[in-house]
Amino acid sequence: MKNIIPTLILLSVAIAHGQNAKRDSLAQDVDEYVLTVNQAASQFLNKSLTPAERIKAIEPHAVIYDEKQVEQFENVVLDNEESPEIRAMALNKIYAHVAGDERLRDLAIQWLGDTNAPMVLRQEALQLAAELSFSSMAVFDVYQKLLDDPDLQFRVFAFTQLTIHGDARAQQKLIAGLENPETAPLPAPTAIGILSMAVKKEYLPAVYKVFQQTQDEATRLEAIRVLGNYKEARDKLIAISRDSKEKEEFREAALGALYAGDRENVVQYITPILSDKGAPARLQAIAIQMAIDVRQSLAYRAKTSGPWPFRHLKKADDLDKLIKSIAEDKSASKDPELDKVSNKYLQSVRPNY
Amino acid sequence: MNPRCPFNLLPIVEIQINSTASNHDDYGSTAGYTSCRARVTNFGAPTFRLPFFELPFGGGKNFPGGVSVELRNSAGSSNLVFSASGGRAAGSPSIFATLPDDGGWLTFYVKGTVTNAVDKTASVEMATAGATCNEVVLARKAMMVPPGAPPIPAAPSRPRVEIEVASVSTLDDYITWAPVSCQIRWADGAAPSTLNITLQNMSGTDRLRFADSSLGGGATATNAILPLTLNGDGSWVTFYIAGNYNNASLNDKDAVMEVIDGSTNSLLSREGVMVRIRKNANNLTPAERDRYLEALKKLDLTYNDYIDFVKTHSRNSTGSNTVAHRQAHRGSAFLPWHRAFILHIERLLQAADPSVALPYWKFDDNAPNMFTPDFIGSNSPGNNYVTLAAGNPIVSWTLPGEGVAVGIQRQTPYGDGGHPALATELATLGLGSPGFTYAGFKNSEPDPHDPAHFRSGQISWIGPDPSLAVRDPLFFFLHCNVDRLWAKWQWTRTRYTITDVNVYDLQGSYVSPAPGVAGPAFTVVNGTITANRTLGQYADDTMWPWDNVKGGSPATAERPDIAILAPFPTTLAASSPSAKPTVKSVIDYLGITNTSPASGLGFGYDDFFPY
Repeated sequence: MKNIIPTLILLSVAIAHGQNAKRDSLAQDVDEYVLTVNQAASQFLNKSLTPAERIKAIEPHAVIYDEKQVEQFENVVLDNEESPEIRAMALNKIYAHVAGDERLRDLAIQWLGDTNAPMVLRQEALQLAAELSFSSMAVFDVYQKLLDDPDLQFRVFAFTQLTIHGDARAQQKLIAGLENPETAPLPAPTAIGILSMAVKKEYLPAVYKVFQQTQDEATRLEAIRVLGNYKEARDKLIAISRDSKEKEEFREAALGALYAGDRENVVQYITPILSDKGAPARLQAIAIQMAIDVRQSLAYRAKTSGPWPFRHLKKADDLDKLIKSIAEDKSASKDPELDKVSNKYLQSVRPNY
Repeated sequence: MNPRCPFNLLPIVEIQINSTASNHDDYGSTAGYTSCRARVTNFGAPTFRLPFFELPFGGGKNFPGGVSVELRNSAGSSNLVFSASGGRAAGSPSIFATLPDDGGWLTFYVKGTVTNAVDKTASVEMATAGATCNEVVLARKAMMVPPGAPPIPAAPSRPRVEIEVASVSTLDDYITWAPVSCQIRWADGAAPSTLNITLQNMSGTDRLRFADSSLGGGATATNAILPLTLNGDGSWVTFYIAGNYNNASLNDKDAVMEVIDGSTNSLLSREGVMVRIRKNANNLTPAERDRYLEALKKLDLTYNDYIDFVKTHSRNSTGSNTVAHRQAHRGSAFLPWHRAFILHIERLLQAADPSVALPYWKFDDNAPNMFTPDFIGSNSPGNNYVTLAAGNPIVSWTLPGEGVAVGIQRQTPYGDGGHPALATELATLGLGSPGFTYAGFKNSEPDPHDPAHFRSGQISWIGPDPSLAVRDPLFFFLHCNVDRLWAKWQWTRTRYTITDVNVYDLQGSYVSPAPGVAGPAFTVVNGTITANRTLGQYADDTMWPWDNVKGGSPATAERPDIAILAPFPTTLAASSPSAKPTVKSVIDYLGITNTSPASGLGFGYDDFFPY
């Protein structure tokens, strides 16, 4: 032991030095990378090279580090003599500087809303707006123009941004499109997906109507998902969740919608599914997961078990017994996920059988 | 710890196996019950009793009526059964009990259902069980049900030592790469005798490193073994432990230190702790992944706490809001604010399961093990919602009160096996070059942060807007990586001194900026935030919402009208930040600049060792 101790201490010292070396090595890698980017940026700014060579040089790098080069990139973006591809690439590398530069910002916004601008510039402006919209930029007046843009990706972006921020006009256009598909600005599943992100739920009656009328499966599925908070749809959702003729994904979406909209009564929605021996195993497993969600809390279990030492005051209910019977089913054909989840229920809820 | 508890003060609990403070006898049996006991140590001021009346008088109780608790196995384990009476009782996987409000002991009994091959692989877990209080884990005491004789024989008797990792509570037995103060004493010695011992890792673990009391500030424990001398008078001897880099824990209590008698080379005691580190989500074991998902599900659906994070990020009481947004975005405080935000949820997750740490999504690498139905969800092209496995605890992910569908709305256009196009780690670590200033590094917000969000899908919660982003639990993986990159940049360029303008640019306070630092401003031009130096952006400012300052009057117009996450949860496992953190209080997250060893904010990352 006495010989081991100094050896291990030396080893520890060596490890500490190793960490310093690792840090220094990383710092050196970073410094070299920055130099590489600076050289690539110089190549990009070299007008004696072909546009393809210039783009190829800078394309792999996301950030320009040298402040003077950043200024030169800004000038490239502003330079009408440069090709659209070069200007778009220059803009792509200096997103972080756009918010603080009025000329760049205004030009990008102009490209975004101008359907006559070269597509490569419009797409770069869209990408910029999309990313900066997350933290610093929202030009709603331009987005309004984009609602009628001939290009779908611009419309999707504009409808998304405006709907999230509560714009009534954008939402009404989407709702009108659901009611009159011929005039719809977006495909119905896309429109429902965007509307579901709105703060106000004014779209629910229109989605309910679509749900009842559509023959398109993608649209119906999207509609079922969001109707959990629409009481008028509840009976239909219950029926779908229990209907063996429905596709499994629709039954699952309907059960999910009921859970989202009426979690307090989830036991009444899941019990028939768990009682149905022909119900899909995945659907039953999800139903049991919902039961775990509402019943595993200590508040629930303490209430149903009674305080120490007066345990066993309340007996297991029908749902507890049903899940126990599923857990105890040892047939070879039993779904492994269902087996796992039903046993998890017994372990985490711990009913008093 | 938890604002939804009837008492904000967390009961600090001591558990003893075999009813002794020493670990030498922390061994049970399948043949019969082992007596154990537990008590609250912070029960309040001493209570005096008047003669004849035997009524409490004076003093105050922190937990009047006692603390309702459940005694149980840790989640996923069924190694032990519990009984209130012992004897021939059948025992139960869990029992409910009440810890006395005067610090008195609660006695209970445990028995093994199976034997354990490795020491410290069984745990007695205690959680709060009040009807209106969240289920907070109060203690996890490791033990073993050996197949034969215990590794430390009862006779002939060996010197008895007691160890405390930080305190008598087990909630602080979760360490990172930073040093944690411990103490050890010879409990049954006699002065002037001394006992030479050695601290080492249990064979096959090697997760811990040790240092003696001479350890200085800015350093951590790095010795594989540590010889110490204990005095026969029972006095405590201080030492430090830290995690062994590249060997973080996989499970709770799998970092086991041993105390060896220096003269006889015999084993005197073992103590199980955990080296709890934030890891790459793509590399988690299935057990680590499932523990995280279970804790997340509990936080969301059992506690209903997750929604508070959704409602705080860029929102006020009516929804998306600029004043709320600018507390955390497009300003210098972007990185510190989000460091506090993710640490807050991590601490609540750890209240549900102390063995979990936030994983990070290394978004410049593929993460095929993370974008799966068993973890954070996979996605097929054209689908607005991710697919989750039926056995995934978050398969029915929903946000009570938010009025949204069940599931996670996310598109991930780069595919389950890809990643968004954004600045690589190397490119990000170059930000601020050539002087490596914070003013330059904070540009990690526009890249890689912004594209990590937006390029993860347009008709998605995570992508288009910060007021929706937190709905997707991927948010915390993403921001854990943003924080990791900042922490790694800090390490690479030694950026910890909080008064250094290169470490944080807006020195001073909103009311009194430091000389040479720009004064308050908030400008929006054509819908674009061009300057944000508002309250909460300066180093000395407290941060909303944890400072609980709400808007509505001219004096507080800089703040939103709600602060539902206040106060910041303090924890036994870390000494900082306070319940009202300032910007600067989260910058030196390791306590590197402290003059004495510090455990910092209680987190570390698996891919670099910052000492």
